Amino acid sequence: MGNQEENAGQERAFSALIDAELPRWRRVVFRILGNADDTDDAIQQALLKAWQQRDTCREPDRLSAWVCRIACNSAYDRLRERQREVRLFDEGETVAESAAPTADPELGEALETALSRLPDPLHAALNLTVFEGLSTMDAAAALGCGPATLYWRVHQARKMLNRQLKELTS
Amino acid sequence: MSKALDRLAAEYERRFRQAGFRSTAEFKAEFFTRARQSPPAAASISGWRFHAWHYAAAAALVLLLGVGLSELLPVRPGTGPAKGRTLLSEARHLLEPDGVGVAVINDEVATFERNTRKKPDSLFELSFRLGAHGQTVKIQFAAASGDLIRVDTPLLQGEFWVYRVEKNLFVVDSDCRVKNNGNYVSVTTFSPLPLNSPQRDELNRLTITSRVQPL
Repeated sequence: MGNQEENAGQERAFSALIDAELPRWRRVVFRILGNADDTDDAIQQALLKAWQQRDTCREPDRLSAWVCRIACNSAYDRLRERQREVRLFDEGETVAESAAPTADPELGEALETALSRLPDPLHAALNLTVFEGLSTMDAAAALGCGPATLYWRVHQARKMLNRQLKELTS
Repeated sequence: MSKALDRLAAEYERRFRQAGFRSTAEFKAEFFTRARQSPPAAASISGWRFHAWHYAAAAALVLLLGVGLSELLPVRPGTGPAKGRTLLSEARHLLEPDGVGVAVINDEVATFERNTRKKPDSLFELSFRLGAHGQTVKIQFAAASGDLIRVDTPLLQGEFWVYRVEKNLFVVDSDCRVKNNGNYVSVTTFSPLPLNSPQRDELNRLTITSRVQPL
């Protein structure tokens, strides 16, 4: 098979992957970043990395989980960058306030603040399981950890949320 | 809590629908434009393929380490074990029914089948670092003499066998692969480890710190 044909085949495979998975990737990353442009940028970056390594990919079945993981990592990096910028311009604003998406007091402002304070791995575990509804195995694959670790992270995230909610609402 | 999370999930969904995402076709058009301008990366050392020279490097380390580690130095303070111990303690409480062991590898929890039925009485901590700036991979587990700890996680895969040879002396026999900067390094050691006396072993570029304490 010539290079051109091979490339065309790979483009078709990526095109099908994007058709199938883009909505899910967008939902997951959007919950971290809170806006469409940043969300798409993070996913584009992740896909580009996958594309650049397409010739060495031995596990195409796990490509979707891998892209999801890279996109989430990129999203958390962007979030931290955003928080640093906010701190530079406004020393008075807290990290949690700057990280929270547009708050709606009636729909759990305190919960969003508490969520934004979770460490990235715990936040990602809740994002994929509680909000996205992925199975334990799929979520663990997307996060690159084992099921026991994922279970533990969800447990730990809920515990931290409970504690922080009590503090925030007391 | 569950109700609040459900309401927040619905709120996220509402915001997502109103976020104004481009169509999938537009997204794909941008991606393929960028992709065509981007050449394939050179064979990755950290992603999908494990190269033969990694095996060679690993084999060399095995040979160097397999003879035993004799240059024992006191461990440096400040390795921050407290957080991991708390995690281990809570994970054991949560996940350790009879016959199941729990290990913590950095912030990952792994379970293993305990071959002895003895109640764990000692806490083991081993950490591995390649080079001065390499990633530190640390495993912590509670075990009893005779336990074989078998783990398979992204950072660390392999076996550790612990055996009490004297009242205050264990032998820790490890045969594992440790991830370091995307590569795997094979480590085979057979180390005497006194109770309550941290050790640091250095050979070639690999630093192994280890300690065992009573639970």
